[in-house]
Amino acid sequence: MILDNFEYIEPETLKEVTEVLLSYGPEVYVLAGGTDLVVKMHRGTVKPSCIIDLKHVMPVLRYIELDSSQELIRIGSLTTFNDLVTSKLIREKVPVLAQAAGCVGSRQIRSRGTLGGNLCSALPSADTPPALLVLGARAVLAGKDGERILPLNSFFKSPGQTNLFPGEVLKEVEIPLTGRENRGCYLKHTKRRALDLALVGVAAFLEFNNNTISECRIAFATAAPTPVRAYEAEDVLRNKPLPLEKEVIASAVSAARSCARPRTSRRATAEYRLDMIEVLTRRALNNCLSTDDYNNCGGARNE
Amino acid sequence: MSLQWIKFILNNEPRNVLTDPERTLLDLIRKDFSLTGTKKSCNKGVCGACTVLIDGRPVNSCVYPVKNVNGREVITIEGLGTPKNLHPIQKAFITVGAAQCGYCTPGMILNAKAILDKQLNPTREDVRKAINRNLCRCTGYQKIIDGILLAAEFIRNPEAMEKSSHETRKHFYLGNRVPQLNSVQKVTGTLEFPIDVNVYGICHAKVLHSPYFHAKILAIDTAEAEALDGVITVCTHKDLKENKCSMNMRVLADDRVRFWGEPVAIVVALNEKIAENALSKIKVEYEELPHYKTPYEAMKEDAIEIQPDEFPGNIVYAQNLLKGEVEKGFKEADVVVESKYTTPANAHAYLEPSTGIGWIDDEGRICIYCPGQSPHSHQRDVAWVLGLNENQVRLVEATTGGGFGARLAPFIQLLTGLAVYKARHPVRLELSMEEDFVVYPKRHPFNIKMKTGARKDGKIVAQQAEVVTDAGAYALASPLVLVKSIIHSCGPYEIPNVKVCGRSVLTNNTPSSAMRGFGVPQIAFATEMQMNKIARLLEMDPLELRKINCLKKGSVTETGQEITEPPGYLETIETIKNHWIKCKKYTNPETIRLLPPHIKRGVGFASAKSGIGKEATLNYARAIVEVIQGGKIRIREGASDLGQGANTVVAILAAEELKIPLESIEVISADSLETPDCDKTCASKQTFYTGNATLGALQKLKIKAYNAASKELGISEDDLDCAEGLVFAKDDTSRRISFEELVEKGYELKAENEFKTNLKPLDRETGQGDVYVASSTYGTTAVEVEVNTDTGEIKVLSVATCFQCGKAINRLGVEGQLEGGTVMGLGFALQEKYNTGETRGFRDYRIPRSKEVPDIYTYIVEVPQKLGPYDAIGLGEASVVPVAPAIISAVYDVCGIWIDQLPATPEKVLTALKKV
Repeated sequence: MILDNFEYIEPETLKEVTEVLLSYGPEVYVLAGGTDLVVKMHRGTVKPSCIIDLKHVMPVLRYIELDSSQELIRIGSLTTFNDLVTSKLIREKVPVLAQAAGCVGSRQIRSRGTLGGNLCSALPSADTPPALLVLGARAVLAGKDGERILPLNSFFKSPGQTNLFPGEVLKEVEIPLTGRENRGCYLKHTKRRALDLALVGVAAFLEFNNNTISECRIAFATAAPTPVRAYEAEDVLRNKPLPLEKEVIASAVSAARSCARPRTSRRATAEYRLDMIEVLTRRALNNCLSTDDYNNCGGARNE
Repeated sequence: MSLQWIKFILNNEPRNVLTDPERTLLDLIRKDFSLTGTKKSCNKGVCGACTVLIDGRPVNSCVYPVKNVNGREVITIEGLGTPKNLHPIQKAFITVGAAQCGYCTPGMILNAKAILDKQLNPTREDVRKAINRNLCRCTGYQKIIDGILLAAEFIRNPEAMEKSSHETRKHFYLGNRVPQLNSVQKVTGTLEFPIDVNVYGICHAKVLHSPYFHAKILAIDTAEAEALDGVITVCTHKDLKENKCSMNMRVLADDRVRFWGEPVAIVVALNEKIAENALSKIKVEYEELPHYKTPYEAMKEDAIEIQPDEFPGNIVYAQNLLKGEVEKGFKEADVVVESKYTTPANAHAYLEPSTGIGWIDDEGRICIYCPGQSPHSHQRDVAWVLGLNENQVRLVEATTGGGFGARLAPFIQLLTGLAVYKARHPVRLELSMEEDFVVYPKRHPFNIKMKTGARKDGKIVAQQAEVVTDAGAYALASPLVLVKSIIHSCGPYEIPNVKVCGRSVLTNNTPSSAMRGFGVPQIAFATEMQMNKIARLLEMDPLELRKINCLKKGSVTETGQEITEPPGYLETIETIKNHWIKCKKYTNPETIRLLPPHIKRGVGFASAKSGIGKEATLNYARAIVEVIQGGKIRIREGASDLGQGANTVVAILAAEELKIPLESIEVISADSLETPDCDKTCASKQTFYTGNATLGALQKLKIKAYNAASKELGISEDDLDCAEGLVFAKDDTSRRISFEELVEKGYELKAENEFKTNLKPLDRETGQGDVYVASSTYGTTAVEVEVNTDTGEIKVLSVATCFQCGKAINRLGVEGQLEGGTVMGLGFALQEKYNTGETRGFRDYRIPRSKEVPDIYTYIVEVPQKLGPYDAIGLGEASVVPVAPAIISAVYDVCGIWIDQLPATPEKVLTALKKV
C-alpha cells in the first residue's frame, strides 16, 4: 500500500484529542479500529491530510460497566465489537446489542472495530446503531467545555455526518435499564451469507408489564439516510395486551414499512429493501414474543 | 518507514527478521523467505488463497500485518509436507483429484489441516462450512470436500493410506481415475506460477488505466514520469509498430479510450513504488465522449461509432440462420411460446492474477513467461505489434492458474512484450486482481427474443429467434461466439423450420470474448426455457418432450448437417431419470410437508449440446513424440494445461498406446519454442485434437520402433509387439530389445504428427453447412431447488448431471470438469453479474462459495465416437450449459414464476412472486 503523506498525531488524553480536533478543523480524520477508514484510504476514496490515532486513549475508553445505581450500563467508545459479544454483562442485560455486534463483519473485523467508530462513521448500514436505538441509549460527548448527553436518536445527522460539535468526541454510550422483563432482537439481511453489509437490518425491543407490552421500540439499518426508529410501528404495539393478535402484528409490520425510506443502490432496490423490512420486522417481533431461543443472528435466512 | 525486529516461528524454525512491521505477512513470506507456495490472489482477504496457519488457526496472510506475528507460530504449505514426504491431507487431495489448476490448493490444504486438528470425524456439512472462506473456481468444491474427508480417514487409519497408494495398477490408466501429472507440485505449493517467479534485479512494470468509459485522447505527456529517478522507460502506443493485433485488440489506447480501465501507458521502473509514483506523473488529456452501456444504445442512429473504420454503425458481425420455412411451421403449431431473455456479463474469476515475466535471451529473443491459453498465436501477436519476426519471440504459457477462455486474449503477453522490448531489461508485470478483472474480457451479455411453436403431440415445428450480443469495446472473439450460439440455437433438438437473426454490437463495456461455453450457455438458456415452458403448456413430462424432439443418428441439425453417429443424448436422459427415481432426497412429499410455509421446494431439468472445436473453420493440433534418455517417452504439444488436465490426458493416451507406466512419460506443453503449434486451447478440443495428434505421432513412433527392432531381431514387423519400453516377438517375449537400446544403436525414434480438419465458413445469410467434424457433447441435468418466498432467495439443494463424452479417458478429470462447470453454471444462474466500472474483484463479484454449492452427482455416458482418440471427445465446457435453465425451471415448479432475466437474484424472484 502506498499512501499519500499525511500528518499523524497520537494524543495521550481525551482532552488533547478535543484540542487537536479544534485546531485542525474538518480536514482531520479520527482513527479508532481502522476497519472503515483504513479500507477507504486503501481504495483511495479518502485522502486525509491529518489523522488522529486514538491508540493511546484506547485503554481509558475501553470498558463495559454497570453503574453503581444498577440502572445504567456504560460502554466506552473504544470498546470493540468482540468485547461486546463476549461481555457477560451485555449478554445478560442487553443481549440485542451482543447480537448486533456479533453480526458485524468477520471475527478479525470484530476484534479491531469499535462501537464508537461504528456510531461516528454514521453509516446507514451500521449494525449497532439500531440495537442501541431500541435500547434507548444516549451518547456522552466530551468537548472543550465539558461533557453533554445526546439521545442517540438525535446523534445522526446524515450519511457520514453526526451532530457532534466541532472538537467533540464520543466518550461513552449509556444504556438505561428499567428492570422490567424485556426481549430484544436484531436481524440482518445480507446478500452474501457472511461478512457483508446489511441490505437492511431491523432491531426490535419489547418491555412487558402485567401481561401488556409496556414499551416497544423498533429501529432500522439501511432504511433511511441515517439509522432510524419506526415510531408509528411502535405506537401500534405499545400498551397492547398479550397475547398479541396476528392482525396487530401485521399492522405493526405495515406501519414499519411506511416508516422506512430506503434508497435504490447497486446492492438492492428500495422496493426489495422495503419488502425485507417487513419480513425482518415480523420475524424480530415474533422472536421477541416467542419463548424459543432467539439469541442467534440468523437474519432472514432459514438455515 | 521504520524497521522492527520481529521474532516468530516459521515452519518450526525460529526466525528473527528486521522488517517494516506494517507489511503484510504474505509479502514477507513470499519475498523475504521465497515461500511462494502461499499464493497471492485477491490481496484483500476475500479469497483465502493466501491462507497460512497462525498458532494453528487459518488466517488470510494478505491482510495480516507482520507486527502481529511477533511471538507466534506460522505454518505455510512448505511446512506441512514436501514432495518426497507428503502430509496425509496432500496425499488425499491427490488421490481424489482435488487440485485442478492448483492455485487455491495450498490455502485449502492448510484450512483442511486446521479443521482436522480440531476434529478428526467431521461430517460433509462440517467441512463444507469450514472451507467457505476459501474460493475455488475450478472444482466446484466437491472433490476438495472429498479430499478432506479422505484425509481424515488417512489420519485416523494410516493403513488405509498405505493401501491406497498401492492401488493404482500399472498399465491401467485409460478410463481410470488418474490424478493430474503435476499433482504433487500443486499440493505442495511447489508448482511455480509466473507470479511466483522472483528474479533478483528485475524491473517492475505498471499499467496506467483509463478513468473514462469513452474519451478522446488529445495528448499524452510522459516527460515528467520519464524524468523520475529510477524510471527506465514509459511506453505508449507510439512505441508500437502496430497497435492492432489479431481479434481487433489494441495493445494500448491510441487516439481514444473505449472502455473503463483500458490500458493507456506502461511504466517500467526499478521498483514497484517508483513505477506507481511515475504513473501519477503521466499527464493524459482526455475529452470525454458519450458512452454506451447496452447494444441498443450503441445501435441508435445518432450513436457515435466506437471504431468507425472497422465497424460502421457499431455492428461487429451479423449472422443469420435459415432452415425450412418458419412461417409455415408456425401455422402447424398448436401452442406458441414467445419470450425475451437476457443474460449478464460474467467474469472468468480464476484465482491467479496475470503476471508476465519478460526477458531477452542470449539469441536476442523476447521471451515471456505468463499464464495463457494460446502460446503460438500469442507469439505471432507479440511479434506483429513489435514489428519482429515470429522466431524473435518466445511465449511460455505452461503453468496457468485457470483460464476459462479469458486467457485466449493476449493482454499480459502484449503489455509485457512491449515493456521488455522497450526497456531492454528483464521486466515483471504483475496485474492486481482488480486490474485483471478490469482488463480481461468477459462473457457476452445476450439479449434473445425467441418464439417456438409445437404441435399437441409435443413435436416442435418452428423456432424463430433474434439475438443481440454485447461485444464490449473490442471485437475479440465476438463474431465466433455469435456464430457458435446461433448454430446451437436449437439445442439437442431437431426442428424442421428455423430462422435466427444475430448481431454482435460494440459498446463501451469491458470487451466480451470467449468464456466456457462460448455463447452456448446463453442461447441454451433461451432454448431450454422455451422447451420447459412448452412442456408446461402441453402438460407433458419435460424429459418426454425432449425424447420426442431429440437429435438421433440420421437427424439433421439446424445448420443442415446430418448426424452420422449415435450421439448418446437419449442415454443421458435415461440416466437422469434413473437417478431421479432413486435419489429424490429433498423433494419427496414427506420432507416437503415438514417445511415452514414460506419455504418451498421443486425440481427442474434441462439438456445441453455443445460442439467440439472451433465451428466451421480450420482446427489443428501437432505433436512430437520421441524416446529420450532412460527409455522414457517425451511428448511435446503446444496446448496449455490450465488445470483442466490436458497434459494428463495426452500422457494417458501414450501410456495406453505404448503399454508403459505413466512415470516413464514426460509432457512438455505450451512453449512456442519447444513445442509444436496446437492452435488455441479452447472449445473443449484438446482431448479430440491434441489427443488425436499425439496418438497419431505415437503410432508413427511405434512403426519406427518395430521397423528398427525387426532389423535388430530379425523378426517381421507384423509379429512384434511392445510394452514396458520393450519391443518383443508376439510369440516369444524373450526375443526383445528396449527402446533405449534402439536409440543407442543409432535409430531415430522420434515422430511428428499433425491432426487437422478444415471446414468452410458458414454463409452469413443462411448459416447452412457442416460446422463440426467430431460429434458434439450431449448432457442432461436435474436439480432440486428451494425458494424462500419471504426473501426471494433461491438455494440449490442437489444437482445431478450426466454427460456423454464418447470415452472418459480420465474419469477423475471428467468428473472434475462436470462438477466445476456445474458450479459455474450455478453462479451464472443465480448471482454473478459483472458491471464495467463497478465490479473490481471478488469483493463485488460473488462466485459461489462452498456453502452455496450443493452435492453434485455426476454420471458419464460412453457412446463411442469413432473419430476421437480411443473413441473420446471433449466435454470441458458443456457442463455449464444446462444448469441455469434447470434451476429456473425448478423455480417455476416451486412457485409458478419464470425468471427470464439472469441472474435470478432474490429481488427479481420477489418482484415476480408479487405478480402471481
